[in-house]
Amino acid sequence: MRKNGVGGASSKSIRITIVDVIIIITAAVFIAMLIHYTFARDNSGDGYIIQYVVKVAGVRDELSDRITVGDAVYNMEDSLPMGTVTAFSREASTDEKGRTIPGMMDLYVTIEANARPYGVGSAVSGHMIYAEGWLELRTSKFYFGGVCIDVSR
Amino acid sequence: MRKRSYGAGASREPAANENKASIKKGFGVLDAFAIVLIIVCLISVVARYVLTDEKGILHNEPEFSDVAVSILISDVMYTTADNFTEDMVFYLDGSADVVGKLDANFTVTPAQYYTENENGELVLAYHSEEGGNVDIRATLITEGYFSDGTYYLNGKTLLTSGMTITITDSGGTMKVSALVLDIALVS
Repeated sequence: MRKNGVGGASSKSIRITIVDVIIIITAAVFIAMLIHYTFARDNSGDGYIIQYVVKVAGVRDELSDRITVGDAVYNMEDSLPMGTVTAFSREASTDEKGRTIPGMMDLYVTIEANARPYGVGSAVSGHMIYAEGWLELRTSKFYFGGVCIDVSR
Repeated sequence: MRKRSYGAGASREPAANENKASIKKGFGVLDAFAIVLIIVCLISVVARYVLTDEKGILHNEPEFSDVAVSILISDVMYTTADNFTEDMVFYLDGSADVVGKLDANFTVTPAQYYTENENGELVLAYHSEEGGNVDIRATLITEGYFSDGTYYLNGKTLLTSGMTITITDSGGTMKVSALVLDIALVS
């Protein structure tokens, strides 16, 4: 048998070829992707439902009926989903003295969305939702920017 | 030197067998799997670029349609309105992207503003018809497509009613803000 060998262990020494390296890399990438997507899905399990209300001030009357309950809402900047409109109301806009502004309406859009913890608050599609926060949103047919006036879980 | 190791015929055969064994060990089903995987990856990469290019069978960009975009340009000088002519082409400010051609049916009216009446209430009033500021309601005939109800101007710029866009004429001598009122397919 082998005289040069240093015992049985060396006679069975593993030869790593380029193919083995490719297999290892492929397997590592596959496992990494599996872990990544598994975690991504698991994280959604941490989510919860929130409702937030956006006040859109000073919308021209002719545009004030463009939002309807059931509309999907997206972030204007990145088009990520921000929830679904569950309630909608409007009232005449007023100025700082409380006087009605003719032809202008304030819209109140209630949106329900899956949120995830973000610091001490909540975020929808990575966008933090908090009262007094400014949001630029859209449905498929209407853009609206407004202040979040209420958030509830 | 080497000859010494092949000296005895009896010792040559086990060595050859050992080599064969090591070759067999070196290429297994996993190696074949890896090679197949690499080939599939390469084919996928090629397919990604060949089949999805403009002539490729997977190319599925929708065809553009003529789409009427109604706009309101508020409170501009009447001289600005004087420059408006049918088929005038407007561009998105800051780019060479065409927004669309001005449709013939545009209206110019005295611009609205708010004032107080004798009771201290806000009421709508209008600038003078002679030399006062004006509101322009116009329709631009644009090209683009709808995806899930959302309009993409020239296939790339998202446009919805309620948005304000800044547009310029072809000479870049006029720049106005326009509120998008409505978007509809041209029938």
